[in-house]
Amino acid sequence: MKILLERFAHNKYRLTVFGLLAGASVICVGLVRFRASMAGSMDYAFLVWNLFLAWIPFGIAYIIYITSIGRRWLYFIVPVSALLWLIFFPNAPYILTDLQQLSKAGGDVPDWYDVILLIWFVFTGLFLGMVSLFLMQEIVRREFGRWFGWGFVLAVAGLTSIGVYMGRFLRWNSWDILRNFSGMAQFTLYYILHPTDRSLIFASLFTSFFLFVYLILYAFGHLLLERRSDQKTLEPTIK
Amino acid sequence: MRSPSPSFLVRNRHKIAIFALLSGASLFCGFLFVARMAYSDSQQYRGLVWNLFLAWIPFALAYVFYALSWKRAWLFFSIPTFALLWLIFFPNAPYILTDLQYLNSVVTPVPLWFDIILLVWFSWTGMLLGLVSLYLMHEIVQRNFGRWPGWIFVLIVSGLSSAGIYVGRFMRWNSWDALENPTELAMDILGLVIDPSLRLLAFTTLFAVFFLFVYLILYTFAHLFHEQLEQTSPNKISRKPS
Repeated sequence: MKILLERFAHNKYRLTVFGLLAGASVICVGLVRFRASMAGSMDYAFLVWNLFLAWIPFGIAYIIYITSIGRRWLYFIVPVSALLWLIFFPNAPYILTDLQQLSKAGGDVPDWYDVILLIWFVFTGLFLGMVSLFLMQEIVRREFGRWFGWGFVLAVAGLTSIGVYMGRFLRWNSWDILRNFSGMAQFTLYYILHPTDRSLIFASLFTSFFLFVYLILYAFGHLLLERRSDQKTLEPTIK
Repeated sequence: MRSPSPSFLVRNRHKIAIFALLSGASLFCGFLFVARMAYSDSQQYRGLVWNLFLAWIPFALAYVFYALSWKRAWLFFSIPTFALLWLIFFPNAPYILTDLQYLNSVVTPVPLWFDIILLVWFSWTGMLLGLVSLYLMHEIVQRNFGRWPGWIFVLIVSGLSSAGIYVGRFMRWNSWDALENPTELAMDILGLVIDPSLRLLAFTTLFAVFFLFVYLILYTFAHLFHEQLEQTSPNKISRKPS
């Protein structure tokens, strides 16, 4: 029991992140249910599905993160689960593009309610992605070093934007990779060889946005460490 | 005794990084807007640029305040004024999120996905400006009054700023009015407080909870790093209940 409590104290923030995201997802679903009961239409039900998909990479990253503490397991698990993670990861930022549904949904629900509903989904989805990317970066950094960690983040940001593009405009989804691999690979190859203006602009804008949010979160996280060293040096003068 | 202090830049590199990232993002937002204007010849979304500028005011205030507040003598002098000014301008930062509703009403040759990216850039930059500035204020309050007053401050601010967003979005008041025409604004707000509509209650609650959620996530996420460091470094950092 004591060990359990100690473990809890040790992982307090990790568990809190998990709890917060789970709570937010419950609220998201509640908002959709409430809207459905008010308007009698099931608009936005697909958001719940997208949010569920956004949980998959988070779950995978969480599990890898915890299991990878045992080194022996690592070489066995990491390649497979990292690949799975990468396949499902774009679903998290994909929710951002669901904002376009705002211009279509009807019903007698006021605009502001739809805006709040979408904001809830979008932020929950993107944070799920950010936290899981952070966990993966930690794993990579631990095993291969700092620069590899950042290289990994860059690669993921780029690949994710392409993934979001494929999902939004070409209407592929993550399952298709597992189900219809060759068809998708051919299609993707064709697009890489013949990029359109739209795909280039979209991918670069999305990548830079994604990196910006991640970097801000990362720098913000380090503010705290900075503050602690500030306090150490300044404490004698203020107290 | 402390080791020879590293240079100012290195010591504050994450603060500077945040500042630079947010400035860069704002410039980029401006660039997206200009690109859109050049492409479509319309001034749509000009309001966003103004709102983003307004969102910088509380951030700058909090930043200056944070830098000043290390010196105790200044503190009692500056806290009331600064905090009030900050609070008046603060709702502008999360307010940008509600601009998403303009997506509904735009008919231009610009493709929808571009507008979405534009709005996402603006709204996240504004939101992060607000969150970072709230964090700085939270730190100041916590340092001077303790842990619980700090969290109560965060709670109050999220409630008040949601109400502020409501007043801005539905009653079309803005921050300047609080300085320019305080009595009339106060009367209007009093009217709301006495006789709240369902819309006001629903909007404010949903927004306040949302804002708290995002802040808590950010806060917890930041502490993840600390936890990380604690577990990986061989000589553990002492855990202070600060």
